[in-house]
Amino acid sequence: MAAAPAPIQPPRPSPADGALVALERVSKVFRRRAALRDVSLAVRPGSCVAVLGPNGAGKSTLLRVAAGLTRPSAGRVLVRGSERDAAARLRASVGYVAHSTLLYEPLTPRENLTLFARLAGAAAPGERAAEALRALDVDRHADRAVGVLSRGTRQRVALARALMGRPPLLLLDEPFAGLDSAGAARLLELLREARDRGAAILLATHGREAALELADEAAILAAGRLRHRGPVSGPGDADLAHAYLRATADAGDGEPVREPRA
Amino acid sequence: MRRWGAIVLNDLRLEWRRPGRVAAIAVFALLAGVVFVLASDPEPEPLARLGPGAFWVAILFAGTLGLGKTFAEEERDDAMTALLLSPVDRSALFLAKAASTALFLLAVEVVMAPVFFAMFGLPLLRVLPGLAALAALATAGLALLGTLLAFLTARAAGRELLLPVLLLPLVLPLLVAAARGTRVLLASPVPALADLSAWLTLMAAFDVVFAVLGCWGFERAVEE
Repeated sequence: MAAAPAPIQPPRPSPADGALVALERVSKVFRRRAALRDVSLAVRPGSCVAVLGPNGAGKSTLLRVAAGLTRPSAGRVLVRGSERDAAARLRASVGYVAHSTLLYEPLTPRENLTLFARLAGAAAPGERAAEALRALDVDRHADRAVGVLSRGTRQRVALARALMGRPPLLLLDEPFAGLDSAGAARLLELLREARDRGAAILLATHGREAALELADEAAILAAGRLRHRGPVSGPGDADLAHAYLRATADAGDGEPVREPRA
Repeated sequence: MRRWGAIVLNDLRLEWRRPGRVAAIAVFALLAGVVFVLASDPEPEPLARLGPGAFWVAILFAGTLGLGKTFAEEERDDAMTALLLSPVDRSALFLAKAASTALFLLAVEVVMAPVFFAMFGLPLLRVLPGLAALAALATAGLALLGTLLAFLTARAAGRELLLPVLLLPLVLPLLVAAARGTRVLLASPVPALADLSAWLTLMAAFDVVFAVLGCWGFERAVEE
């Protein structure tokens, strides 16, 4: 008598399932120095992942890899589950904030944003730029050269450029840097709106408080390794604070990545 | 095409906002011409023989100064990253930067050609159509190769030295073709088209090679 066929098992859900962008076992080496080691991380539409870690942990490199700006030395980047043309497909859907403003200093905020709106294919680039500047409350500085604006105002313009056109993926490297409390509150409000609209947000910072107001999940990087991944219960998450301290203290001892809690 | 044009127009606007590059390069080229004239035999015939070569060498040296600034505004606060994140094809981005560089170089050539030809006692109006064809191809080649090398060396230590060291040997065929072509134009009132077309063909081939190599190299270089 033939044995009954084994029941078909449904595939185990992968951490990358349903993710807008997923990094799978990504490493990046710059001139024999490992900036990222075997990092896996995914961000889904309508969610925010905070990437925490001290300076030099590899947060900026991780964001550049996720944006398709830096090619990983090992591992792969998936966009909506596919590796094919990932970098080109990312370009059409990413809002990116870096340590620099990514703006032309001799041009005004309006000229900068109109240029990038035009390059993004906006039908009415001038209107899109004006709307983005209004959202960050920098429209009164719209016609002064970026080079003469204060640090905080430049950061707002940089954020306006990244959020312009409501991109489905936001990659934000220290977005609160240089902002006053009103600016930080406004940014939190805009990011909450973006997340509720379905945007996927990956937010790298070494300061926890503002990020954890928004994040559903936190990942802790230290010395290029992912040391912890798990859900966030809020800005006062004691477990996370403990994990952060332990991860940064243990950095470099080769401890394996902890899987996310349920 | 609309996006390509937006990048070129943006470069022109930046140049307009911070004027001086074209003027400084043109002045440098003219000073180079003065040096050539003063250092050579003052008799008209030797001076006229030296003219075509001196004209293109001055453009090359002056152009090298300007090429070093091709990505200066993009490097200042990393606007290059914003360009790279735009849904613009990498090749289109490279060709747009090369096109705006070519426009700057052409502007320099338009300013310096009448003065240079007068200094060397050469008949500019008689050779103008042929010279325009040579200038278009030489400028395109210099801009394509120069833009690629300017990008590759933009973040390198000692880039001011590295760019000319890499550029000059590679651009030599273009320089020789432009100088020889100009000499053919000046040699007789009705230059033999076959003689000129050989140099034009060489320059066109150079341009095609560096347009393809430039797009390929830029695409690979932008991803670290």
